[in-house]
Amino acid sequence: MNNSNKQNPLQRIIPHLADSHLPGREKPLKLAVIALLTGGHILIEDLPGLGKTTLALALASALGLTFGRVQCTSDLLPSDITGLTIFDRHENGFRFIKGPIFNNILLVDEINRAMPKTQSALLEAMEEQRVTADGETYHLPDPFLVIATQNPSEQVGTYPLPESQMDRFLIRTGMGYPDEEIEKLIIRSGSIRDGIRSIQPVVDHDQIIQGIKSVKTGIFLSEKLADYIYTIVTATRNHAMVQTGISTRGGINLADAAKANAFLAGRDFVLPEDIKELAVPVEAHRLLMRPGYESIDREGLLNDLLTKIPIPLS
Amino acid sequence: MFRIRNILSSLLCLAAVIGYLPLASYLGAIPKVAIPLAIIFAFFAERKELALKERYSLILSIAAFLFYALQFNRHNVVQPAVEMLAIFLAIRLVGEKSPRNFMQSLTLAMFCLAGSTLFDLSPGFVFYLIALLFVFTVSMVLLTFQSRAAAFEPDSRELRSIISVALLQPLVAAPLIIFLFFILPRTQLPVWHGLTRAGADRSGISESVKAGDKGSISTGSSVVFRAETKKLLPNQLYWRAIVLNSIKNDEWIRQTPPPEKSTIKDGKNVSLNIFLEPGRIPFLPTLNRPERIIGYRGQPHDDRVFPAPRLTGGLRSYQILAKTDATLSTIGSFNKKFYLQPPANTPERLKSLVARAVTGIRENKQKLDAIENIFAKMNLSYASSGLPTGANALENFLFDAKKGHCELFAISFATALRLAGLPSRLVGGYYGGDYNELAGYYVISEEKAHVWVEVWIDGSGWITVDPSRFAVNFEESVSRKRTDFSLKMRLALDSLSYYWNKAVITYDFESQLSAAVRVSQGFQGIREIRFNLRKAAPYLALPLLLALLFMLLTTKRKTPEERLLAKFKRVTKARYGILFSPSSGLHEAVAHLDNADVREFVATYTAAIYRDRKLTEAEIEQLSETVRRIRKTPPV
Repeated sequence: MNNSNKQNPLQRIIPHLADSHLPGREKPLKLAVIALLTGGHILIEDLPGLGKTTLALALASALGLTFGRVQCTSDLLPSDITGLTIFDRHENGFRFIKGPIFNNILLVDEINRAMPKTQSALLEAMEEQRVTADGETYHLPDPFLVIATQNPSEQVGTYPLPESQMDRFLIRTGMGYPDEEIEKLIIRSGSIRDGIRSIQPVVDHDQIIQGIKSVKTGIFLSEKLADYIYTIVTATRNHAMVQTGISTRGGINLADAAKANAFLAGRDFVLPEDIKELAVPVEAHRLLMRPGYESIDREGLLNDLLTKIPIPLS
Repeated sequence: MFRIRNILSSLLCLAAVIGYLPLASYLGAIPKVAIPLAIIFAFFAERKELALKERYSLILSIAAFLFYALQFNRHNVVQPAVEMLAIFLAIRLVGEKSPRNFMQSLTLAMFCLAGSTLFDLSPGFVFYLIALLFVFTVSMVLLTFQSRAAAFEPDSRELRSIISVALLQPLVAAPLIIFLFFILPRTQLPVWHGLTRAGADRSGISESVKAGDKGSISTGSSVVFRAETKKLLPNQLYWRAIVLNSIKNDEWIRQTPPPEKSTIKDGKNVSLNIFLEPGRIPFLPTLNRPERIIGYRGQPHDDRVFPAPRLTGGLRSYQILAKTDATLSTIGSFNKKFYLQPPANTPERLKSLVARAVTGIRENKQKLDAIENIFAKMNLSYASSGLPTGANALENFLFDAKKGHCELFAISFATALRLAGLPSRLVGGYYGGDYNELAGYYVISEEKAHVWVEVWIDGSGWITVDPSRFAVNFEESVSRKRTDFSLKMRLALDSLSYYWNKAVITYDFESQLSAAVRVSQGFQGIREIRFNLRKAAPYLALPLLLALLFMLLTTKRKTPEERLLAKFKRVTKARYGILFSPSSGLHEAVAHLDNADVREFVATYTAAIYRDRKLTEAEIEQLSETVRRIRKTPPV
């Protein structure tokens, strides 16, 4: 096994955070880290009050990264996110004030409350990793992770993300309620929002960059498993209820996410389990259902497909 | 998701229905009503989880046992036993349904079905048996699931595969059942019912005939026997069973006939196979005129009547050699006076009519013609209802009502013949029958029962005269035709019974023996061939070798990795009961197993496989060793 992978403290960050600060949150935490490592973004769809912000804050603190937050409303303007150019009287010239997007980790709360124009500016910046304002291009910091949240129960006065834009998120997941025991513990010990500020970083910036590089180049994806991913992708394309199956980008993203998962497990090769574990969070939101089947549970459908596709074992 | 309990409960209801239906008509009132009620209760109570408490079932069972034990005696053995079984089944159905009780209920349903064969052996039994066999096996498999994994709720796909596997078992067992069928001894009649059932109620013919007796003529449509033969002419279809030769108190009865050496002349040879329906028959039906019954062990009477053997159930099928349109004559003389005794109570008008007709005629043949002439002119008609009854029935029939059935015709005609001094007797049997073109046999039912007359004419012998033919409406009434379609339908359905009778009921030990002999001869034949086989071996081996070579070339050879993995899966499954589904990875499959060896194997194996490299020799050696260790180490 590759030694640099084994020693990367990024692998310890999930147990570290989950044990001390975010009990019962391994799964969304891990998915967020995977998104970070692959340069993707994560969309968390769940009710308010389940610790989405806490998760983002804790992650930023533990990684020693900067953190920004945008609370979306229907009158939020693109410049409220990207920043704007103002006239500086002292210097007698124009100066660009960077918006919250110029942080390593950006929490976009209730992204579906922002109007489409703002959403699209944000999504464009996520994709391009840069902001262009008044003819000037500003690069976003590296690493850059957007954690967007969406409240699935409130639909009034919202602009749901178009299905095509969903493809821009590497991962969509829910938070879910914590287990009974853990929730009782959380209730007893109160909110940990204050404590999070004091979390000391466990990794430095270089190690994160090194980790991202390792995921990109240091993890081996077997030919058999590439076939496996291809089988999953084509199975969704040929499914009777699905109008548009997983795109090629979806396939690439699944491979990347699986590699990141292998990296976090300290392996330098991908196991079929990595792919199986991540197929639903990475791919379910990309399925576009046929008319009449929109209400079908896409995660269930994908899980069902996975139980039918044999895993290459030899 | 399905609850196995619910499925089992429905299956049990089905099994109970299958066990109950064939038995229902032989049960007393209590079980007859109790089982359907219990089935309905069981079907609906399962959803609401209602059930009779175990101790109440016990009390009820004991009560039922006592009730039927008291009815049990030397003459009444089977009925209480079967009804007790039925009541037990009903009690189990309403009781609590533990796996043990389920088992018992299913077995009781099977016993009920088996009990029905004591009363009746119909083709329906096979249908019920096969249905119950399938229900039984599926229930057993589901029951195993329920007792081993009570919480298991299969989805429709899983359920389908469980049921299809369960259904496979009886299918596999079927050839064995058929094989046993040819080996095991069997009864030819329902053991209980066949012996106890009154004889006359099924045969349609009676052993005595009296004018004015109502109800001696049968109108039932149940089948008495089937006769396998070629198609005969309608006037040849007189099925002879009994001869009534003397009169006692105006009643025609059968007495031992005076010795007579009868012989059959002329006529056409006909061979028939008769298949009797279960039931008691005093005399074996034959075709007029019967030469002999092959394999008949009784003593045929001189007037060609064949008493059924003592144990009447013993003979269910026999072969007859008969001659149609033949004359029955006698070698030497016999006691003709025996056939001349006239009835005491003869209508005066008939007496005078006969006397007038035969005065001056000396030839017996002409006397017969004269009497036939009387009857032909009488304008009588055939009817089976509104018949004259009482002491003067005969006179009433001939001169007033002028309508009657075959018995009245035959009695009056035979009486007239005896008054004219012609020896005569009544012959009872059947006339007609529906021919089944499909299978080539006649069906003779009770309603075909008929009586006709035999008269002795010197020089010709016993001549058959059917006085009913003098009826103006004989053709329509006696040989009345059913509408073609309903007859065809009935006959098509009857074919089933016929083949059942032929292939199952009358399939006897002799046939079994001869089948066994044939088989053993077949084996001996094989032994003789074996010498030739040795010489032919090289020629036979060549295609075999080619086939082997072809298989070797075409089947994909397994890689060492595949072999190793297959061995690992087998061993781990045997040791720890781990199921490797094709859609789960190795790590995933053994995730819950805390075993260092298994983990080591999976880690080493996948590390090579998913790096796209082959296992090294050393790794194969090491992994084989690991698999051996897994096999040898018992689970903690």
